[in-house]
Order: sequence, then structure tokens, then C-alpha cells
Amino acid sequence: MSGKPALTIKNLSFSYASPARMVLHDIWLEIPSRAITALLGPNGSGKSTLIYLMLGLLAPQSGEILLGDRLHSCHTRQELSRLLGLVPQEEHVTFELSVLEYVLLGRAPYLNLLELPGESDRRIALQAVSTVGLTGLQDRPVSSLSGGERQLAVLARALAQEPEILLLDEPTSHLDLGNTRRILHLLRLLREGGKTILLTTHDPNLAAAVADNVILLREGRVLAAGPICSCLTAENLTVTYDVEVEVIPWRSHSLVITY
Amino acid sequence: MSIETLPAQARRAAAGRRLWWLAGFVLLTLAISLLLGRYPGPHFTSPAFLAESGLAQSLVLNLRLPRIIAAFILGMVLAAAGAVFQMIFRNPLVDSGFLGVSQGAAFGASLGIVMLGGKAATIQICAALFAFAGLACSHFLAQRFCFGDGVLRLVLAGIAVSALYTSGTGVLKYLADPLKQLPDITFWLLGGLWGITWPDLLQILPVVVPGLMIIYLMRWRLNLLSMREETAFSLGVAAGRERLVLLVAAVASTAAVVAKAGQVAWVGLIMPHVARRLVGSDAQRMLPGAMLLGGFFALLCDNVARTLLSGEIPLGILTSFVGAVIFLGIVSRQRRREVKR
Repeated sequence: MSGKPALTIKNLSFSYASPARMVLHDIWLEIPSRAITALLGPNGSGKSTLIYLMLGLLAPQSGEILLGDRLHSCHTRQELSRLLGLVPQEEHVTFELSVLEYVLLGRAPYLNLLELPGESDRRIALQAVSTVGLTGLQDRPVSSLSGGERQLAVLARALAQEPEILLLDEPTSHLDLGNTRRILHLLRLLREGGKTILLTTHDPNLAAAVADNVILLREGRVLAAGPICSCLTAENLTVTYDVEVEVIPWRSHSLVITY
Repeated sequence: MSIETLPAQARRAAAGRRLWWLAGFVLLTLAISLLLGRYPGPHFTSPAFLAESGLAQSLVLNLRLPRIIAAFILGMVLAAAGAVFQMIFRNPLVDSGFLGVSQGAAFGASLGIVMLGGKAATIQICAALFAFAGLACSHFLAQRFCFGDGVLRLVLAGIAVSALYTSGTGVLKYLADPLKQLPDITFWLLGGLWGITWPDLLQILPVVVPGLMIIYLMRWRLNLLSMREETAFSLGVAAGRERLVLLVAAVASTAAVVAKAGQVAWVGLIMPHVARRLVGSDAQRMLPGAMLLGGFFALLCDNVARTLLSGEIPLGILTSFVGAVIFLGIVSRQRRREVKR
């Protein structure tokens, strides 16, 4: 992979309970900065676990994670939240917060325990709402939004954090084609704006459509990692998903087909 | 007009105005409450009579005023604790009865009555101690569980601890002298502020004031704590620690007021909901709204409790009755709104 890595993982292993059932084995990875990297693999391959390890929500049994040149564990939680933004697979907003009130939560890393968001936080939140194209809906309760709009609100909340790295866990898994396209278009714009983006997906076509680099994960092991053109091959995908796969060049992308 | 239908800036301004109106209305109610009572005649003491009669002045200052302040504080604490519990547990149907707090207080009071002589101070100390023990046990048990997220573990531990306390209270009721102790337990469980004096009030203030201050100052964090664990973590929130600080503040304040007033139900459950309708769901405004409404509601109910009949009506009965009616109103309105949507 080219470019200076934003995130480096060395010799990482992780299990939830018994060490006999390792979820991730001996992972070595570099996530290049200012690029979109897709973490691709079948369900249960350890993609979300890897995202939560990068976030710091889980602690690895062995190995280390570096953010830039510094060890992950040397950062305070507040520093981490200014560096890494998360778009989780599912976001549940129990109370009827409006889109703007919800996006304002993204300013938490910049506020102390007793501080309330001020005008500058409000401006940044409004900017994030406008970036994802929800300006007209900023006063609507998040709970009344459609699935696609809600995902955009979650993305806006992560953007209000002004993180260098965005981690997205299956960002389009519940969305229709139109909303998937909106999210992918936004991710490309954010990459052009200098963000490092890592998304998990089980859909090779999604990775082919948006990512610069891909990491293929199967049963907690990295099968291949590198630029899309060299890694997203029929052989690699066949091994990853355990099904016959064909990769067809189409325009500037690849199209993955299975029978 | 519902607060949710207004645009953002107008909505913030409207919510702010409504809070100020509410505060003014509460002050007015506090003042009027001083004139309500059963001396010299039923229901009302005229200001002219109050100005003349030294006895009436002494009665208002020494009996009515501490009781009115206590009712207001009781409502504020229960509503604030209810709002904290609902947001921390991401469940709009919980209040401080969760985590074995109320059941702990009931068990402690019953223990004080049956086993420890039944003096007022003993009952209060036991109620407060066991309410806290309820939280501590729930927290400790939750850490021993090896499944689910932090919130689910606490909820399950709370259910178990509440059930244990309830069965313990049952045993104490069974053992109690049916002519003397059992009526005492029943009356305590029904709740009321008939015995409140200035010294009682001064005893609860050192706990309640810092508790409410912590909750009020951390109110915006409640929004963050109402998010799922991974989202809160990604926003830099030390969810476990912040949740514990808020829970201790809420439970300590609740234990302090419940130890004096007995079980006063529904205030903590209902008032945050009414506040959400009035000033929106953002805890930055919802929490002060709920506190004012809780104080106002408890004060109104206590005014009725001490004024309506020649004998005292237990406060818990009134708050439960009115609270349940408001709850039904909110739920049926919610259904209508959802159907329209």
C-alpha cells in the first residue's frame, strides 16, 4: 500500500472470552492516510471486532496499534475521540433528539464534563449537517427519519467530531441503491477533503466501487491487503467467500459476479 | 403547539421562554401554598388574618413553610432522578424504583419499624442505607455478569436486587405486630410529609443540594449517555465512570428525601415525559423542566393532601392517582401522533 499509514496494526490477536477461540489472529496491517480502505470479508470474519479494536473499545490480547507514529494506548480517550470518528452499524436514538441536537453530540470530545455546546459548536454541527445534505431536516427528530437519512445524520455526527480517521461499520448494509449511492458519493468527497476512511463491508462490489485499498479477512486472518486492482481478484475472493467468483473489468472499476 | 414542530432557533427560544414561565408559575404556587391549610378555617388563610395573628404567622413559618419547601425539593429530586435513570438506561419507562433503590428504602424502613424500635430517625437512616445498598449490590452484581452491555447487566442486576428486597419486606410485614407495626409500615409505604420540620429539612439539604447540582451541571452529558456504548465511547465519554457519578448523585438525593417522605411514586416516571413535551428531549432543557415540573407537581399534591380533608391524605396515593392519569394521557396522545404519522 502506498502513502504514509494513518494507522498501523502489528501482530494483533484478539479473543472475546477463551483464548482457544481467537477472533483475530496475528494481524499486520497498514491503513494509508487520505484514502478509502475497505475491510472486506464474509459475516463473522472479525471485521467489526477489528474496527472496535482500532477505536479502543476492545483491548487486544497481544500486538499493538499505532495512530500515526504514536501507540494507541498512549492517547487519552479524549485525544482518541478527536482522531477517530465512528459510524456504527446501527444507531439507536431512544429519545426524540432533533437532527441538529444529535449532531451536536459530536462536539463532546471538545467539551469538558460540565460544559455545554456553544455557538462555535453549533456552527460546526450545522456545517456537518449541510455537508451530508440534511439541512432541511435539521429540526426533525432523528427517530422520524428514513433509514438513509438516519445514516446520513450518524455520518454528520461523526463529522462534527472533526476526526482525521472515519471508521464506518457496514455503512450501507440497510440502505437501498439511491441511499447507498449518496453515502458513497459523500465518502469520496470526504477523501478528497483529506479524511482517512476505513469501512467494513461484506459486499465486494461496494468495495470495488468506492475503495482505493482493500483488506480481505476470513476467519480472523488477513488473506490479502493492498490496492483494489491487485487484491480484488477472483482467486482471492473465491478463497475469502468460499464460492466461485468472477471479476469483470467495467469502466474504471471491477464487477464481482457469483453464480 | 408541540415543541417538536418548531424550527431550531424558534424551538430553543420557545423552550427557554417556557422554562422561565414555568419557574415564575412555580414561585407563584409556592407563595399561594403558604396561604393554604386548615387554620383558622378549612382550605385558606387570608393574608389579612395572617398579618394580624401571631399564631398564624408562627404556624406558617414553622410548619407550612418547611413542608412546602420539602414538597418542592421532593418533587425536584424524584423528577431529576427519574430523568437520569431514563436517560442512562435508555428506557423511558424507568425511574428511581430501578436498581433496588426504592425497594431498598422500603425494606430499610420496614426493618427499622419491626426490628429496631421504630423511631423516626432509625427508620430514616435504615431507609437511606438500604437504598444505597440496593445501588451498590446492583452495581457489584452487574460487574460479575459476563454478558450483554453495561446497561443490560445493571438492569438485570437491579431486577434481581429489587425482587430480593421485596421478598425481605414481605417477611418483615409477616413478622410485624399487626396492630402497631404493620400500620406503621403501610403508612410509610404510602408516603407523606406530615412530620417535616426545619431540622428535617436541614438534614436533607447537605445531600440533596450537591446531588442536584451535579445532575444539573452534567445534564448535557445525559444525552451522550443515552447513546449506545460504542457511540458514547467513540465520543470520548467515560460512560462507566460518568454513569456512576450521576447514579450516586441521583440515588443519594432520592434516599435522603425518601427516608423522610416515604414512598412517593410516579413523579420520577411522569415528569420527564411531560418536560419532553413542553421543552423538547434535549436534556440540556428537559432536565431543568422536569425538576421544576416535579417540584410543582409534588407541591400541588401535598397541598391537596394536607388541605382537602380534616385528616391527612397520604401523598403517595395522590401522586400515584394523578400520575397514572397523566401517564394514560401521554400514552394515548403518543399513539394518536404515531397513527397520524
